[in-house]
Amino acid sequence: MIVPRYVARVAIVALACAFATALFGWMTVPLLGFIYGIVDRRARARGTIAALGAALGWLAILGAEAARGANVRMVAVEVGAVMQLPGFALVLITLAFAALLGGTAAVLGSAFTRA
Amino acid sequence: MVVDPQSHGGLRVGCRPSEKRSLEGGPGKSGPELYLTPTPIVSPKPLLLVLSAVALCGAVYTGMRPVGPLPPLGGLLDPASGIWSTAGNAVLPRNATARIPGLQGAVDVRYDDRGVPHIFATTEEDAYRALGYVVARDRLFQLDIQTRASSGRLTELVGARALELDESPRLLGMPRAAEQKLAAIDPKSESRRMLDAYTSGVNAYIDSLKPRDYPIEYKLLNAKPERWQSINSIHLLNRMGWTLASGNPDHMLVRAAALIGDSAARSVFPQHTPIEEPIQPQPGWTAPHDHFETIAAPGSPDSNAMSLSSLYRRFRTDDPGTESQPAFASNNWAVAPARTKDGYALLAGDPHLELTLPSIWYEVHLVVPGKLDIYGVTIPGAPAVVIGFNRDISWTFTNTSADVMDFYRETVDDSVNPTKYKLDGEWRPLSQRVEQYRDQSGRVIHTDTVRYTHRGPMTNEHGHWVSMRWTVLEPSNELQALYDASHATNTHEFEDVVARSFLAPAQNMLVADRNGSIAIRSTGHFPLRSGDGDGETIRDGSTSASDWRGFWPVDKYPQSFDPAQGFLASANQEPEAPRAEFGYLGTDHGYEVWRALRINELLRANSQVTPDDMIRWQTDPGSTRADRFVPYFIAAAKTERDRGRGNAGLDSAASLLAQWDRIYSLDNQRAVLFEAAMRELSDRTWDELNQNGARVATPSTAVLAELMTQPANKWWDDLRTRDVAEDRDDILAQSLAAAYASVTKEYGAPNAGGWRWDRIRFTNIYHLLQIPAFSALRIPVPGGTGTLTPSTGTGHYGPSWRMVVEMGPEVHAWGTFPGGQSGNPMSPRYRDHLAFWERGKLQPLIFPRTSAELPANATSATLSLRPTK
Repeated sequence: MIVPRYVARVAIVALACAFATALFGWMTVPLLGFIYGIVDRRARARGTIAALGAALGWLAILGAEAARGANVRMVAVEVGAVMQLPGFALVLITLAFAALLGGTAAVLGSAFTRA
Repeated sequence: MVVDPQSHGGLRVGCRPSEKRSLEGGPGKSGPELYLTPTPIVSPKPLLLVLSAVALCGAVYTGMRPVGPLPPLGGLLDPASGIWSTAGNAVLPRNATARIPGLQGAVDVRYDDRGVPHIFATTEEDAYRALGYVVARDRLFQLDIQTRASSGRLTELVGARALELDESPRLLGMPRAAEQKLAAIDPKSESRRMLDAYTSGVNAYIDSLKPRDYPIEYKLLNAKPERWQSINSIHLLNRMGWTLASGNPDHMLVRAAALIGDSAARSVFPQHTPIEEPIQPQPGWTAPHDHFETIAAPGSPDSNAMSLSSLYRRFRTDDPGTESQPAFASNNWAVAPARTKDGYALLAGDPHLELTLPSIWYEVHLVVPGKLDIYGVTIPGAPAVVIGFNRDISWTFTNTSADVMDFYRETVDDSVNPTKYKLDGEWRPLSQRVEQYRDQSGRVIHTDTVRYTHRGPMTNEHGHWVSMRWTVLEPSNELQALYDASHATNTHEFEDVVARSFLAPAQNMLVADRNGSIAIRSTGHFPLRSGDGDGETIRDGSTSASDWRGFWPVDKYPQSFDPAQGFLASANQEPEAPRAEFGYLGTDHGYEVWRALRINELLRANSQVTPDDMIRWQTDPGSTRADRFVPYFIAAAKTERDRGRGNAGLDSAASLLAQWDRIYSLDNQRAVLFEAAMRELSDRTWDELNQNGARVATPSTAVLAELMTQPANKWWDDLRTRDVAEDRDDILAQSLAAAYASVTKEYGAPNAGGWRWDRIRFTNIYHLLQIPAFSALRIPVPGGTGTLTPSTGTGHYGPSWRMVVEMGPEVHAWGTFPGGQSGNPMSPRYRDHLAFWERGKLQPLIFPRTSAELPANATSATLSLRPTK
């Protein structure tokens, strides 16, 4: 049951990040990561869980946009070209940015708890 | 399942080692026994903590602050409100509703299958309010950046890097002029009411936006839209004046005179073109007239002109290079029913402007039953249809190449910091205006003090104070003219109402009506000057005798109503034949004459014109310029051969040129040689106009054609060969041979495919922020220098809107522009018209009287606008 519980944690973080970002913006991601680090202090890979969750949360928002008919791929290609990047790289950068915010904040949150 | 008694914290799920073995499949064993053990709190290692802290700080910092050219990444990458949300706004919702403050009744907007909004309102104010809303909905960033550029406020959007761009309009006095123009508009006038209604419509849209809805450009610039003001529309119209009426070729004459003397300079920069095909038809003319005179040989430098040329620093337009061919140009023509196949008047127009994405134009149809029913193109930010048609008339403009900008050398009380200027022996105070430039945060980053005489803004040019008078800066109300035009019902009414209020930039206003009448009038303020009456010199500012005496009366404007020839055409050429001209209007070096020759040639040859002919002619690749010059090149090659000076390269070049049909089609393989030969010819012929290795001014190709008839003129002598006096054929042959060598070197053998025109000449349509990914580049187009669809070297300019209208019992119209209705680069409507434009095809324009007349299958979206509760 290790894997399902791990997945559940990631999913919860993802959901929280998706809703919080949609409602209040990107700055909620490190905040949520930090809180997660405090709350789930006995998880072994809090940073990873938060990073994955944040990235998946943002991916879910992009997926929701695409499901509503938005041409997310075109944005990736066109804006990627503005930044002289291939389209997939812009998607990866976006998700990596979320992961960085969530994951590092979770690590710091866990330390905060111990102190 | 067991619970570890040592637990003092969280629970850990696992199984005992023995049971792990059983899981591996040992026989006779029962299932594994799960246990829960409390897990210890795991604390991260110090190094990980430090790294995490640093990484988080870095991520948050780059998320909140711009780094280098990048905007803050947080807002940019935010999937809910950053760049990604642009995709969600790319397509207009099928049905939408919005509430607008001030709306007097319901307004229904139906977008057709080309993305054109058809606005059905009950009052004109509501129609213009809705226009503001829908234009902002599709083109908000364009609205904003265009007016910031016009008013010198780009620094507030992009910072100090735009300072130089912002200084230009401010030092020209444009923001001040806009304020004065707006203040002078009668608050009760229709134009002011429509202007304010439009403003409220734009603001209703802006107020409805959340950050996620901002156009992508704002996200890339880390900016947000500001509320619209009515003065922005005036700024925008002033900008058009700047674009179309700031060409000031006076300096070319002066700079040429500084090198070759006044007589020779006036000979190669004449006031009147030597090839005459004026807009106003001349009785009895059935062909253009060549009015050639002997061109004065280059003489000694003129010291007076030398000192004058330094005064043009700020107002100088750079020499365009090998040929004087201004990029801004336009065509229009109309055919009377007697010369059309179906017996209805036909009108065609295609203004040539800088091509951008999104396009300068936005198509729209406004309907107010019983009051207004107008279709056409508006400039985003202008509450008016600029070019278009109603049920009775259709109209279009080309730019009038008039001289409407003059300069005065002023006498001031202090050469460094003047406060007064002298006029008729008395000191008069200079009015001063401090221009403050701010950055994105509102901080003042630069200030300029602009001084004004009664004539206009004054600047210091190499220690001399020079003031300027320019019609674009004077009170006028072009919006009223366009409002009145939209209600006109026949050609006379149209020309009369626009002449009342449309003062700058002067336009050749062509109109056709449903009764079969056609007319054109060069409309705008044309100054009347004292003395010799021309505007080609810097006048003495210390006397009021130098001031303008007024403006041409309307009845003296170049014009024609229902001419006997049965058609009218303008392509920026000289409006009147010199003998018919009331006074000084401008000079030859404003625009070249070749397009005018070509369209008149086509119109004269066809007395059964159809709309399809009109559409085809708009992209006609024939060249009267090539027709004029190619025979000279071929003859010169023969002459050189007869003189025993021929060579294989020259013979090949002449042979290749002779094969050319002088058509700039995409697949032609000879235009490249001709264009190179013309460049070489210009360089070799006008070498006397070089200074420090660069050309200071280039005469028109009409003057070059005039020079062709004088084979022994001193101008043909190449200054580089001191011991030889070349004649025309020497220079032509040398030019052709050099062109052949350079083209072969650059593009390979003549028939290897590299000489194809579609591999050489392109249209390049840049996004407003010059972002290549949002641009449409390297589009092969037929046409070249001087053809009806001119293609310049950079490819940045061209036909910005093509329209053909048939004024029958029911109006039929076709049109397209290089772009699309949407300003969102992610939208399928961002550049969906481009494919038609490239191929020279026009799309039928839907012109329903009521919303019910718009077929359901041609309706792509609806928008219901309702008053706020």
